[in-house]
Amino acid sequence: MMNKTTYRGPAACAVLLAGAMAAAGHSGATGIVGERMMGMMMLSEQIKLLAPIAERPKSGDVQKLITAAEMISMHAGSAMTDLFPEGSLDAPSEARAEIWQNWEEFVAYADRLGELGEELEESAKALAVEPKPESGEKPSTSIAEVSEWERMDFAWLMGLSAAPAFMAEPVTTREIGGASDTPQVRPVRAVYSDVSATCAACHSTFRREP
Amino acid sequence: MNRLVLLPLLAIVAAVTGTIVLENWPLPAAAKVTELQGDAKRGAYLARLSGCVTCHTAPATPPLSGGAAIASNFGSFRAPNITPDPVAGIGAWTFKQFVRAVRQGVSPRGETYYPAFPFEFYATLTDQDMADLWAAVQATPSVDKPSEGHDLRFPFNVRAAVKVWRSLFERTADYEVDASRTSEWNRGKYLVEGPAHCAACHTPRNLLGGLSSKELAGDPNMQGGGASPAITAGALTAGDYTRESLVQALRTGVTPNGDVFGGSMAEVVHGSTKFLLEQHLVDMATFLLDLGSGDASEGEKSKP
Repeated sequence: MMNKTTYRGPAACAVLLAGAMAAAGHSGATGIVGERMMGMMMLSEQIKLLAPIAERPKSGDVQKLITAAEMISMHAGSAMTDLFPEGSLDAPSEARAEIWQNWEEFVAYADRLGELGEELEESAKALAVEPKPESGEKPSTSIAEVSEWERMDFAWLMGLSAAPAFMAEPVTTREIGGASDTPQVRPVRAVYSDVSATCAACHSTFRREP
Repeated sequence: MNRLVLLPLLAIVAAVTGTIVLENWPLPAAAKVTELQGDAKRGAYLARLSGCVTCHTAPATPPLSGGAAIASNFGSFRAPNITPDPVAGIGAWTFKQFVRAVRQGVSPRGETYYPAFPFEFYATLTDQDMADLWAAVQATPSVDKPSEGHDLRFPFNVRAAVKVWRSLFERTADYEVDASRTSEWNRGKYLVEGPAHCAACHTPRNLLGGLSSKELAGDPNMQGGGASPAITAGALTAGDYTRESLVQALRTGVTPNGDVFGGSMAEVVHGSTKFLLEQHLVDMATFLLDLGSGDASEGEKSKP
C-alpha cells in the first residue's frame, strides 16, 4: 500500500501536469517543445510554491517542501536534457541554439538542479527533527537570537566565502538539523537560493529574454 | 587658395580646436570630504547594494579584480581591477581620489569616467559611506591582474568627449526627505534612485545614452540588447507584484508566477539584492509600488 508521502507526490504531479498541459496547449506549443514547456511550467509551480516558505520554513511546511523537492529532482538532470534534442527551436520555444553549442554546460546546470532537489528534500526532512538538548551543554545561540545584520560578515558580503560564517557553524545547522549526531544539512533557504541561482544562470545563458 | 589645400587645413584647425575645447571642458571640482573611520563590513554591504562587486568581478575570479565585458551600442566596457594592488588596482590612490572617482566620476588623473560606471547615482553616498567603502576595498585581497581596457568604436573612444555628454545628459542623484511620507518610503526612494541605480537599466535612454525623464518606465532598447520592463507601481501591480512578492523577487529572483529572472536582472539579484537586509528590500518595494501611482498612463504589465 502506498504511504502518505509517496502518494502525495504523484497526486500533486498529476494535478500540475493537467494544469501545465492546459497552459502549454494554450501557448500553442506542440511536440517536444510542448513537452518541455510543460516540464518548465511544473518546475516554476514548485519554485512559486516554495517562494513564500523557503525563507522561514516551519515544521508544518515539511511535507510541502518534500513534495516540491521531489518534483524538482524528477524534472531535472536527464529528464530535462532529454527534452532538448538538437535543433528543437520551433516557436514558441524560448531556447537558444547555444544549448547545443555548450551542451556540457547545459547538462551541468540540469544535473546541479537535480542535486539541489535532493538536498532540499534532506533539508526539509531535517526540519522535522526536534533538537535534543545535551546535558551540561551551554545553550547554543539560536538563529532567531541573532539579528540579520549580525549573521552577515565581510567575507560573505565581499564574495570571499560562499556562505556567512554564522551559517557554516554547527550551532546554526543544529537548529534546522536537530541533534549534533544528525548529519549536518544546509538550511532550506540556502538550498532554495541555490536552486533559483541555478535556474537564473541557465536562463541567462540558454534562454531568450524578451 | 586651392580647395585641395584649404579643406585639409580646415580639418586640421577643427581637430586642433576640438581637442583644445574638449581638454579644457570643465569637470566638477573635487568636493570637500571628511576623513572618517571606515567599517569594512558596512562597506562590503554598500559594495553589494551599489553593484560594485557585481560589476568589478568577472565570473569565477577574485572579488573586485575586474569585471566581464558590458555590451553597449558604443562598444564594450570593462570595469577595472579595484583591489588594493598598487599597480593593477587602486592601492596607490588616496581616499580623496577614491571619493571623487565614485561620487563625481573623475579619475585621479583628472579624466572623466564613462557613464557605464554609474557615478551619477552614487552622488548621494555620504562621507561615512565612502569611508566604509574605502575600508572594504582596503580589506579585499590584492590581485595583480591588469585591468582590461574598454573596446569602443570611434568617436566614442575619445574619452574627453564624455565631458560634453555630461554637460548635456548627466543627472546627478539628489535626495531630500519627504516629510509627508513614511521612513520606509523615503529610504526606498534613496536606495532606488541612488546607490541601487535601478534607473540605469529601467529608465529609457536616448541615442547617446542619456536618461529620459520617464523614471523607471522601462527601456525597450537596452544598451546591451533586449528590453527592460517598467517597474512603476502600475506596471508592477499589473504583473501581480505585491510588496511581499517583490521582496521575494529581489531576494531570490523568483517572480510571482514562478519564473526565474535571467539576463542582467539575474546578475542584479544574485550579485546584489539577495545580500540586502529584509528591511531595505521592503523599503525599495514600498517606494516602487507607489511610484507613479497617480499617473493614468500606468498599467503596462511588468516582468522584471
